[in-house]
Amino acid sequence: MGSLIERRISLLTVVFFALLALAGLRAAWLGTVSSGKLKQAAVSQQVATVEVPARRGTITDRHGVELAVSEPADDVAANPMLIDDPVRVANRVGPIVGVPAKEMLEKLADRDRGFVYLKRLVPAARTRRLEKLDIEGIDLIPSSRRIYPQKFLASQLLGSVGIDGDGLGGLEYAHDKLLRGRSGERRIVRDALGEAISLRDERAMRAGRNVSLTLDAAIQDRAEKVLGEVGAAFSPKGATAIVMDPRSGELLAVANWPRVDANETGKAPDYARTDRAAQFAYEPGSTFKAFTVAGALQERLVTPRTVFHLPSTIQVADRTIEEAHGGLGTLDTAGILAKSSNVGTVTIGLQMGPQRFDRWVRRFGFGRETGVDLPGEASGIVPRPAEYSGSSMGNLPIGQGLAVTPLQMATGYAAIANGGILRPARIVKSLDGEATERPRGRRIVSARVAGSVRQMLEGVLSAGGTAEEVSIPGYRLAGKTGTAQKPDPVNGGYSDTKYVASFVGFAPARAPRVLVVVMVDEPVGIHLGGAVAAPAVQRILEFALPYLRIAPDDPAAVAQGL
Amino acid sequence: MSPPAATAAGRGGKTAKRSSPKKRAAVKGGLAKPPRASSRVSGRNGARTVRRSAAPRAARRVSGPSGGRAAAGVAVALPRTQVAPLGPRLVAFASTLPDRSVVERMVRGRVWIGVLAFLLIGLVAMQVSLLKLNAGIGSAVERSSALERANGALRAQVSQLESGERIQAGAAALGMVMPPAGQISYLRSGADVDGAVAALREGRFNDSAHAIPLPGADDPPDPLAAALAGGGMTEEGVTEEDAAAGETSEEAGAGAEGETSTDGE
Repeated sequence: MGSLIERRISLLTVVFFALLALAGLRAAWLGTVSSGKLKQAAVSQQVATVEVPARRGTITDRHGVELAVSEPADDVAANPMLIDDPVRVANRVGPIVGVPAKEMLEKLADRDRGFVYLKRLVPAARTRRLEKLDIEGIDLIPSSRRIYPQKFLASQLLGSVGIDGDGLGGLEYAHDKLLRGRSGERRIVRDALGEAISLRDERAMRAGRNVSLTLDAAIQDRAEKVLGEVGAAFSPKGATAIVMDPRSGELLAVANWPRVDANETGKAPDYARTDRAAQFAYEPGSTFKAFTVAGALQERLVTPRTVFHLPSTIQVADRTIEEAHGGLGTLDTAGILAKSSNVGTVTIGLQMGPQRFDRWVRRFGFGRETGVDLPGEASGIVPRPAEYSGSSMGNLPIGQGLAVTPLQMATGYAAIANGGILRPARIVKSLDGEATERPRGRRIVSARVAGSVRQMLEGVLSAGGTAEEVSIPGYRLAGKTGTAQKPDPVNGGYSDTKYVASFVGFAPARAPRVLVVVMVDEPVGIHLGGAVAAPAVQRILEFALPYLRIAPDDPAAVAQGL
Repeated sequence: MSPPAATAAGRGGKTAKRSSPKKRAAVKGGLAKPPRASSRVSGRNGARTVRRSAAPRAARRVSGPSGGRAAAGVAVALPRTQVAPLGPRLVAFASTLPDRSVVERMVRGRVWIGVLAFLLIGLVAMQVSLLKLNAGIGSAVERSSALERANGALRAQVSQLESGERIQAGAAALGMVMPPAGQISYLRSGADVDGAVAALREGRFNDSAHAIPLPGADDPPDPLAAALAGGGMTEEGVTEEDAAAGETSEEAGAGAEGETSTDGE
């Protein structure tokens, strides 16, 4: 009995050792002969290095109204080699991602490819449904999609973002480095069930910075609506409006017409996507006369009360300059501005001479970029005195023969409005809540001269001025109309049918806090700045002044609606 | 011979391994002793054979005060005490550790099995908990990423819902109109309007239970109407929302820095 038990024990021991030996052999086999293959399989199945996409920063207005935000999305991709039934998959996936099943089938049926995008930047809300289907061979690559919740608002200014998350235009392009952040890289080790058991950030993700603009969404909205009305009334080729705080150079609105849906900029024509405020150079016409007069005042060549006996025309070399509205007779300097006298301004310009005139034009910032943090800013065209023809001094003082941008006009007039300090316009107010550096200004005219010009510009909106019909009860306004013929590239000279109508206005005239520039390119029907652009400025100011809680000069007049 | 060693030797006749006298000397204080006759202890079953070397022994110190000879005018060079550095001492200690009786007792006892088992189980448990922790971190990070994405989607949705254009369209559908730009102005500051604003904030106007009747009045008058008729409001006390709330009727307006004092009519 005892020996039987001993024999059984021995047998069991032998079996046990045999199994142990087998296991050992197998382990040795896997650990040596098959190790390479297994290691490779383990790495591909268990270890994955994934990209952690950086969240693109948000763009908001000065009050935090979101103008551009990023929404989680996924790129839907497929490995056709792993898809057994492309027809079935195409029919299931197509409706979810919004691609016709036929188009999808073409991609899925191509078995020679191991990777194909089915649809990019599909909103996460839709891909969640796809995720639940758990179809083998269909992958979701996390990404983000830029959306503009205010749709049309400031679309030309904001620009757009490409499918790979690069800023392609506007502020999205100009501040792409700040906004985009840096994607991270994460190494994930998963167990047999697919659960992450180890997770290490090889490179930390850095989210993009949030950019807060100086824009005010309400004023921007109003400016765009007013431009829409101008567009409807005069069917121009384009129009732009700038609203600025002349004290700081902060841009409160930069509007363009025609409007473009920022979510679908690709569908808009090129000219509609242009931010005309900074990129469109035009001959300013009479709005430029204020700078000629300001230079002459600072040079002490004239005073506001200097009287000129003006003929109805003036001959400069081979060119005869005449008044737009007939002979004006005797005018003082203030009257020249108020009535927008061409002959009077050319007379003042001739007193300055080409060199001094050129110096003053450049002191006001024309002929170079203003330095605003917007992309593609045009510098305009200002000829040097050496390039002047004999008649140049008959053209330039009245804003012909040179080209400026609406933004240059705004900064130049802001210098007059704020007491003589030329300061670059500013659009970015803060980054992640940290205020950006305010651009430094430099004095270009004395406060006295600036005050004199402001007072003279009040006359433009007074009785007898070129924009006398423009008024806002209770507020003193100042401004200057401009009606400039456009150059005719076909016949040479200036066109008799194509004009740029503009108006620059600010209020309150004695201590300006809001400055508005409206430029209308090729209005149809009426082309005078006082009739096309000035009422638009009035409507913008009517909203902006009380909205910004700017006290009227005469509260009683507000009450009476005078 | 130490007691366990003696026991072992007695039981199995095995000779307990001992450290050499030199090593022990080094451990015990590192005293440099003069060379002495080497001796070897060996034996079986407790029998010891002592073999003495032929080298002459050093003269033994005569007991009594050491200064005796010095006092007698004879200078004696005493062996100088030397302390070995810490490193070699530690090495020596470590090398003799297995021979220590405490260690021997512990290793040979049954407690050792328990200690080893505890350490092994602890090791495995630690590894498992580490894996669990990693898995937890992994799932938490994945969950946080998912939540961040959901949050981003919701934020985008909120932005779209807040769109001015959408709100204006909704308001127009409800029959509301934008007040003409020139009709917006501010009210003068004053206690009455401040009270009205406070009442507006608390939603007391439409709730008769919370309405505060004025002293001497049978019917509580509408404080907003009273305020509009006679007062104004300070800019400090008024938020944008308040101004907007007060402007739902066209006769109310927004104010001008607290300095302005007109109503819209």
